[in-house]
Amino acid sequence: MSPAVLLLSVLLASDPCDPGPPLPADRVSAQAYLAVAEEELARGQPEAARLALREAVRRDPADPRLQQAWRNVCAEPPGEEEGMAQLQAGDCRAAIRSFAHARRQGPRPSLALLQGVCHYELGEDAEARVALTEALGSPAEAETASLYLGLVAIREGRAEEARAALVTAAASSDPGTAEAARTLSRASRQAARLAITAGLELGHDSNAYLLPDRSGDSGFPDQPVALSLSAVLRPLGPSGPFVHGNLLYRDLRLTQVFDLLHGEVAAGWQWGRGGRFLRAQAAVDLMQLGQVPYAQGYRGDLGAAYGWGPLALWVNYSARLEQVWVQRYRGYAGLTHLGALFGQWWWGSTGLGLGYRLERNQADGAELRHTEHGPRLELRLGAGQGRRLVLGGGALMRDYDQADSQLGARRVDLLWEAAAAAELELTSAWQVQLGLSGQRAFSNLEDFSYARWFATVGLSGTVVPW
Amino acid sequence: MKPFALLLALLLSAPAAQAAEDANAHLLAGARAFRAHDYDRSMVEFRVALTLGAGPQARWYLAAALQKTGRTDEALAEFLRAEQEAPASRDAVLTWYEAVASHEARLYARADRLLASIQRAGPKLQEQITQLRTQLAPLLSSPATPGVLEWYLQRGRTREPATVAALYLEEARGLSARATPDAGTPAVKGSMPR
Repeated sequence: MSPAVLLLSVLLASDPCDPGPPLPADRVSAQAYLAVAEEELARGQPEAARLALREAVRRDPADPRLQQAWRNVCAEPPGEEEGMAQLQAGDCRAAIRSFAHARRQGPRPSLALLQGVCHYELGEDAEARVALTEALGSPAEAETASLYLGLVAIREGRAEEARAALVTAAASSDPGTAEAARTLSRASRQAARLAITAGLELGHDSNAYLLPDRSGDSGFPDQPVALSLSAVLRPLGPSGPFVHGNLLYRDLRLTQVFDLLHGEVAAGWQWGRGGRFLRAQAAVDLMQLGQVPYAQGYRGDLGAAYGWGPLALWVNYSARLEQVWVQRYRGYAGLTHLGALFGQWWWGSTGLGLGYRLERNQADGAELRHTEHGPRLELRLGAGQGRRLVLGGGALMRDYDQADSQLGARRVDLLWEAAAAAELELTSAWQVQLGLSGQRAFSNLEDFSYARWFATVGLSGTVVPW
Repeated sequence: MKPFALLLALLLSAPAAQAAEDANAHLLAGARAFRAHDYDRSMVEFRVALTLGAGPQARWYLAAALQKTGRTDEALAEFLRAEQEAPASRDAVLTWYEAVASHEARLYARADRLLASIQRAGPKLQEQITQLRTQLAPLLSSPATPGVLEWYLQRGRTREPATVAALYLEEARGLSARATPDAGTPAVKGSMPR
């Protein structure tokens, strides 16, 4: 065979519109294949339609209706392979053009999904929603499409829509998809325009008075009950102005002096959303301790978050000016600066975090001024089905500026902390938390060395009316 | 029968016989494609056979081919139609395919019921049945979370056709017995198949 003939044969063989050798004429079967092809196209199955039409044309090549139908579907959908290659190369813009071109040949849920994901990556939420909604029609793509529709809704601040979309994905048999949907569902509550959270916590504090080791006592245990209520309003969604308020009431079963009522109102602005934002806020808070008005504080916060792939970084600075109303504790009033940096690295559902905090307390009482700083380590484990375990620990070193006149020495403390918390989602809105934590404080002044452990069980729920 | 009547009967039955022959040819082509694991082609041939008037037993084969091509909801719909139109044509292998489709659709209780109903299965099929039922056992005994129940209810409200939607609601009813008290039991009771 000459090279030219060989080339021609290859070209002919690769012609996607060649139906193959004709079969004995059979108009009845050809029409039946055509009917099946039309049904398959209507079901969004172009491959099956192509297969049926090829058989139809081979049995009745002269029928102009069959010829036209065959020409409409015979060519391989252009753009699909190019789109995949462009997607793998990270060129989402080009991939969108290719996928859109391929989808013009007929419904292609898998390509609609990929195109929707590309739009989402480029921040084109409206276009992403259209493509992903089309992909929802295919059972094979529905869960992933739901996951991304949830992401789009979260980014647009439509929490209720996000929650509805993520219900489908959260029931996925693929553990990765299910866990991602649950995580996003929680994020959707955090990103809602209006979210109201209420909580109840019961605990056991082994040493409520922080009695020192030298007391020989095992501490003064007490059992706190805490009720909390918080609300956040973001009228423009996650990026824009926000107002939030928190109210906490904690009642110790035996001790009245530490019964706490604390309320805070804050207003601010966040630029950006999701894992990348800059946030500034101002807050005012009031505290009642032992049923006596104790303090009022004014706080300014400036924070930023930056997420890059599996890595997330947070940095925050806050300054708080406190006024204390109880005469004998007025020395504790004053300005406190706090800076914190925290980084987290995720492997699937496991996150490892490392942070450091630095606090400068400039209390009005000179003997109370101090600097404290220390690292913190955190491990987050997702156990699937809405169960999470958080293990954490850290150390804080506190140095006072000057000697205490009554104690006759300058105090230096070291505080070790360890905590374990388990969270279980009961429903998409309610969850139970179990916590166990321990503290061990060492001080150069033995009155300030103590041990304490704390166990809690809590129930919290969030509603997102808007 | 008089000669005239016999001729008339032959004339009238000739096209019908030809159509049945055509339909059978496509049924055979579908079966050959199925055996060759060319399930798309097999599905097309079974559909053509039905279009040409193949008996309702062909629906069982179409349903099996749809299951093999991953078109689970369509497969379930065809299995339901086949059960209505040709219940006597059900056999162990076809029931196995229906159970697999149910399993793929996460209709676990239905899948288990179908598997339990299979009798006279060959040794290889029996082994597959045992394996799948072993996989299903923990799924059927674990408590249903509200999220899972909500997923079935949502499918029951939205899936097409209605016969398949009804399967999800039926599964939800079974799950509600294992759900926690706040898992939406009233919603299950109130959700009727369309």
